[in-house]
Amino acid sequence: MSLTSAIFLPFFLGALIIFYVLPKKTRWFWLLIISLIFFSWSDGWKTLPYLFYGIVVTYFGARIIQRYESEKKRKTILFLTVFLSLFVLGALKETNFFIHLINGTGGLFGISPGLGMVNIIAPIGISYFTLSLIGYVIDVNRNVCKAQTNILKHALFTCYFPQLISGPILRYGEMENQLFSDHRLDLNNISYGFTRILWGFFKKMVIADRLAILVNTVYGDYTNYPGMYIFIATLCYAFQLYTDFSGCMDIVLGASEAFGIKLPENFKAPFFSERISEFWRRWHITLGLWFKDYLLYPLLKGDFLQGVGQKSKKLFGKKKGKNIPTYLGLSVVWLCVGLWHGGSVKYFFASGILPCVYLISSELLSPFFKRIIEVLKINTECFSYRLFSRFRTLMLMCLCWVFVCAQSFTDGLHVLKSMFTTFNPLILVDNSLFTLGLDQQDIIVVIFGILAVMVVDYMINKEINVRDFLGKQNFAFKCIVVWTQVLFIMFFGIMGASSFIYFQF
Amino acid sequence: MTREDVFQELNEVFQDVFDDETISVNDSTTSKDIEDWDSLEHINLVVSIEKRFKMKFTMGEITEMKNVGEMVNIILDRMVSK
Repeated sequence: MSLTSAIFLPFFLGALIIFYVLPKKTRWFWLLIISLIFFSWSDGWKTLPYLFYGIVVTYFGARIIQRYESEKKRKTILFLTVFLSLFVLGALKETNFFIHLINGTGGLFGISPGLGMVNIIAPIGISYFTLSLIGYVIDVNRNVCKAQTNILKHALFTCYFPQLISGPILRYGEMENQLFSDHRLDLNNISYGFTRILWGFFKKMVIADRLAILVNTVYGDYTNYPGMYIFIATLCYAFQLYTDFSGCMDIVLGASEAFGIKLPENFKAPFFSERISEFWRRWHITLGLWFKDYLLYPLLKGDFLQGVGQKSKKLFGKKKGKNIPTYLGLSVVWLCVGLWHGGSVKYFFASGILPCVYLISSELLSPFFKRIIEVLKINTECFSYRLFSRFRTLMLMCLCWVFVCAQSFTDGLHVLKSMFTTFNPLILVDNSLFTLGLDQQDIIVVIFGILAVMVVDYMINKEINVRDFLGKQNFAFKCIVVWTQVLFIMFFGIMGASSFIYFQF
Repeated sequence: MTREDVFQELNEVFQDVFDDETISVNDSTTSKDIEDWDSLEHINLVVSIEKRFKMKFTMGEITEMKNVGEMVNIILDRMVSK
């Protein structure tokens, strides 16, 4: 069941009404029932065992860990639980990637392993709920939270339906009280929730699905659309991906808020990032935090990298030497992020290798850039420099997204070559852009939509609470904001077009 | 060791890690107050504090502590339990 499908709203409304009619103590159980219905409806019954497997493994893993006092025993059970959870995720999501890798590597040495691709159906949301579950077990081991004794409550944490398909990735400690509390009816929550859902629909149906038409036209036939066409299509993809994923998150967070449950934010105006490291702190925030807390920190604090750090400090001096283990840790983390997006070489490269190269090289080259700024006496504290920095960050990310849009990694290289070897800027003024599937009205709608998103993001970037800001306005202004969105969705929304891009992960 | 003593030693560690002799921390200091205190430098800081005070933070504490005040509470707790 897609969040923009015709059935979602009646399903959600029905679930919400029954939720508040039921006695308070039973409401969490109703959430579990509708979450399982949502899962089965979206994915069929056949993949339910994978969900149950994740629930059972982590439920017992966490309880056993809590029972032991011995650090060694706790670590053994933790390792086993994480392994059992990751094994299924890896087998379902990465098998074809590794087959592809083995075949490709064999080809380099003249050997033909000839392994055929396998057809495995992974359950929806497995990449998200597996990370949430592993985080929970690690938190129990770290004594950050207590193991849940009721397996049904643990099941609700795993498959709570608004976030089941595409996150955000949850922390048990942040969710426990919210999921299992009495959930008093608060009309503000419902009103805010619906406003946010509307904003999500606007982003997805008016902007993202419209931009998808242009992107698919160009990338589907990139040999006929070289140079500037690809540049424009990639830029459009940046906004398509952002409005698609953040729109999905708006619907998810809005739906959850209507039940009185606040989920963590996944975006914070990412296109206002001046540096690539900042971008990753503002984009898919819960994924970044997960990898930081559960992989990067343990790696950096582990004996191996601490040892490397001591040796590298002796070799390269304190300042440079202390960065070596950080770079090694970052490399491991980004390779894992690439695998998480995985299933194909292009995703591994675009979301693992390339961002890692960006981050490490930006750290390494930072003194060089500082020197250039000093020599050229560039003012870095003005609007134009900030604008330049933001554009630079966006362009670097666009380079990653070229590979995401392309059919394969090799295709991505061809697309890049095609983009940089054809000089055709005149297409911007000779109406050629109207041949890409969007007419003049579509382009005006898209520009208006993106401007609206950027205005909201500007406020978020300035730490202005958009909700409070809207709340303080007159009734007439609120009506205009809401009804503009409703009318845009009704007249310009592309209905039932596609699922969200991040569903596939 | 008093809370003030801990802060005095912490200031030296912060100044050393972030290479800035003007840094002075208090209970409410957070990573937002020190320019170079990002998620990567956080571990270097933690390890330096562990060495100075001859104690260990748990991974849960490292990820959960919200400000320097909480950090000092943990350090003082460890000293009491030694």
